Amino acid sequence: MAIRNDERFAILKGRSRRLALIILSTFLGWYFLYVLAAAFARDVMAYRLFGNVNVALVSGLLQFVAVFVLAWRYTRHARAVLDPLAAQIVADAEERVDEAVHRRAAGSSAVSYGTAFGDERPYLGPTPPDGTTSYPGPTPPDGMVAYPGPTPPDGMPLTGGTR
Amino acid sequence: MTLAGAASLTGNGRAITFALFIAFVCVTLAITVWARMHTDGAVDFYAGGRKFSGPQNGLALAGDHMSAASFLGIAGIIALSGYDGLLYSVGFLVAWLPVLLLVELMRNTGRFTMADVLARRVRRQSSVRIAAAVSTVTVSVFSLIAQMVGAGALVTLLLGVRPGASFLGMSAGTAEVVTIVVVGALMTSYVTFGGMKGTTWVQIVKTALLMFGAALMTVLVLGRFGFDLSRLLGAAAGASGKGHAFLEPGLRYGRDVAGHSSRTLFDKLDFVSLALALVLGTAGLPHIVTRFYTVPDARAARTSVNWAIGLVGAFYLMTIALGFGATALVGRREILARDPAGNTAAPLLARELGRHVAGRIGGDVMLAFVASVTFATILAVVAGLVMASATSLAHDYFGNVLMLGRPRERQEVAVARFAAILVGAVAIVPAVFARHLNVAFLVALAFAMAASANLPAIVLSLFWRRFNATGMVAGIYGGLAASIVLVVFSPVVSGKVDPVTGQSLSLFPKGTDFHWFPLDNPGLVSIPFGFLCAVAGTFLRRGESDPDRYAELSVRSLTGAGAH
Repeated sequence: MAIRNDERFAILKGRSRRLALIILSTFLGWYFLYVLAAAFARDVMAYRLFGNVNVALVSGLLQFVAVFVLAWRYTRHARAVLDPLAAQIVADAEERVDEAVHRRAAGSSAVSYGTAFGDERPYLGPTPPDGTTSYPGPTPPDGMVAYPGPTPPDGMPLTGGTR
Repeated sequence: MTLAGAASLTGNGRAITFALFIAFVCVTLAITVWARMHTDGAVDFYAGGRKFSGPQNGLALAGDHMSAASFLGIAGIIALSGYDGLLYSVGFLVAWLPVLLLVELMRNTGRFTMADVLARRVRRQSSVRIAAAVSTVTVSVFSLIAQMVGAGALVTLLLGVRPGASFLGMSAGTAEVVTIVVVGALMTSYVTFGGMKGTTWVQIVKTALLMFGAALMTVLVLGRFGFDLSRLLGAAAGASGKGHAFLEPGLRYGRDVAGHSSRTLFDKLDFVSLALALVLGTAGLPHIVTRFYTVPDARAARTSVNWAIGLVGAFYLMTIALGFGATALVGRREILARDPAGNTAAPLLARELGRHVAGRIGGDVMLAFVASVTFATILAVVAGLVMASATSLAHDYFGNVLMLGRPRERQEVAVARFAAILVGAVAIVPAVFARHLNVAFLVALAFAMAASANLPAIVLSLFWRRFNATGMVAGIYGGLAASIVLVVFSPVVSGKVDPVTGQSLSLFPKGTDFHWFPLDNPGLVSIPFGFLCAVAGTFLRRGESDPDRYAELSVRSLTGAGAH
């Protein structure tokens, strides 16, 4: 099963998109509210809160605070939720590759790294072991020629990338 | 750039400044030599071996972002226009949030450049690579020219070479040309020999110096006002001659023009346009993007952006104190008399602070220090820009177009070194000729181009299933062309006249007027236009879309599987 067909990948994708959208809409909204206020609501911005400190200055400083807080929230969420999920998905995919490599060493048919990661062209053999379909898509698009060499193409990770 | 009078460094001060310049140049050249000895192969040259840690790369990212234009420029704008300078700096900071959202995805899917990310979506790469290289080089060269012209003017200003006077036997004009050529030659050698390793370390050293200088000055300024912000603001407003309007928006951006409601509206739209380009441009700037690849993985890339956000935020907070402090302690009139653009506000403030602490010599030392930090900033930023162009030319154009993706590594690195020299030369020549022109708008133009040409291609590649090669090419060229054409026919190039002095505020002298686009900043129109071209191009050749490659890219971008 390829990563792209892994249910957890769909979850990861959904969560990461949602997080990005929330952060994006928050800061764009807050920032352009500030910019538009500076351009069109000058009376409000000129209102003095205490001493020489007015709404304009405080809202300017709040922009700084907002950037710091949003960056911190994003990072915290990514670390707590997205990173572990991604790591798990990759680790499982690698395990599948390892098993397949093992079987191959034991004399079974060739392995498709592509099937494990779902993100690369099929590695060698015509049929992968134990009936899993070799490529999730219809047919590999042209240009995706089977790689002739012994090493997987294009820096395919055997030890794996982390998120 | 007109230099009315100079920031008067004399005798001692000039000697100290010169010694500090030389010291910085020696240190950076030593770094370059070290980097040359430890650079072997493409990953080392383009990405510093991907061995920088998150915090190190964060310092370098912040350094790439903080040019002399932001150190002297923003402090100057605050000193002259008050609150609007703060408004400007907020845009630069907020721009880092889109970077934070994109950095991991781009780190996971690319190798050295933005084009690597785009190329994953298409079957035939050539046209996309060429488009990306064209936009990378255009954006970088425009910013380079702005930086180098600024460098020439600034250094002569800081060294106090007056028009008519001489320095080491050179007149002010010659000194400017010499500065431009020396800066150009130095940064080209950093890149040619040091590659990304050298450039990054130069950037790290510079950021450390800049942060230290700014922090020291901030503490001294606040100390003068008993660490009471309200008192500082009051003193600034008083010394500005503008009263409380100085602490409110509207002195520089989105000015109200009495009796001209359409001009007032255009002024305000122009400001919104600038804000949009600032916020969306950073994530598409080539010299920022190439930095994503100098760390081992996406997690480190995220850490580095977080560090950059912290540093840049702290820096702009400090410039608020410096700008208002300069008005309060030096006076708006004096700053204006030295340089109408306000670039000398920070150096003058430094001298005033030093003088207050340790008399005349203290003043000279502080001024000399700030002058050399500025010089270091210019060198490092210029080197970063040259690095980005050289990488794109060698990796995208030579390696993946001319050599069909199968260059010999040595060959490609040699081409990159040569490309650095080429880009340096291409930027030095126009900079020498443009040295008397007001080219400050080129920085804003570079941001607008990055936001209109590069950002649509990056964002749609990462998030739109149907996006294809035609869409990428159309978006890049469309956004690039739109921003350039709109600027050529905008008031910054022709037709803007100072209502008070009657002098031309445009690139062309008074009397030439062919502008029809009402805004200085093209972003408000060119960014949507870039996205529109990208979408239209995609629908033009629907058959090209390749959902399979999109699925592959999503897996890579989100999980880091197969990342370099």
